[in-house]
Amino acid sequence: MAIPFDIRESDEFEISWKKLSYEVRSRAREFDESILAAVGTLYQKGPGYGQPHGDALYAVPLMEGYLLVYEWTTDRDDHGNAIFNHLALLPIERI
Amino acid sequence: MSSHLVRLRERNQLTLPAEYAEKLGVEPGSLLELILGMELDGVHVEVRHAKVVRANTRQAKVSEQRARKDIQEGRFSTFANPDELALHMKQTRDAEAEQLRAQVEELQEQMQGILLNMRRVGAATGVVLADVPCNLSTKA
Repeated sequence: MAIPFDIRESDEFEISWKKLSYEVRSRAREFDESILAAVGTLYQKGPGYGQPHGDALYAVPLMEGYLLVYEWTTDRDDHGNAIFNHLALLPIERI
Repeated sequence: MSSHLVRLRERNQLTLPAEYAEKLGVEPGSLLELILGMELDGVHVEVRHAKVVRANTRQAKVSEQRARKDIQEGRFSTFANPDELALHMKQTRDAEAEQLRAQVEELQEQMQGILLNMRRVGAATGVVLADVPCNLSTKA
């Protein structure tokens, strides 16, 4: 069973998402769906899913040409003992 | 908009006309992204200059550092599960669409005003603006 965790979306993620949405234009819906599919899989599989991408970073493929990069920590939130894994980063990169 | 006919050679190769290469800012060795689009009026292929950003490049690291700083300084949103994230993304998209609709309506109103002025001037000078539509609204 996957470890429960919260998804943290940094402002940088939001900025990247909007900027790249403009870039992919008519494929924005596909882009969004690929992000959500990747996050859904990440949520089920837990920390460490994807390809290693540097120190404590992992990359999950999105729509062709883009990656979602995330990092995970063993921090705990203020309300419980859930280990959260935050989607701190989203340089969705062209490959 | 301009068009240029090129003939496909063996192994589906084609030559990008020099003018196109110059406009795209590409040269031999550049990476091009081909985007296939299915529209009602047929299949379109869009060619774009692809920018390669790989992991551990300066550009990627800058973005990662910004995100880390955002997290450290509390500039983030927290979602308990993917459904919450999906809802947030949908709400953001809906808000963007609403903003765009408002901008279009504002532009339509401005155009209506301009048309009205043109008609007034036309009436005063005797010039008939026969080809100008009566109503620019796209509402049903």
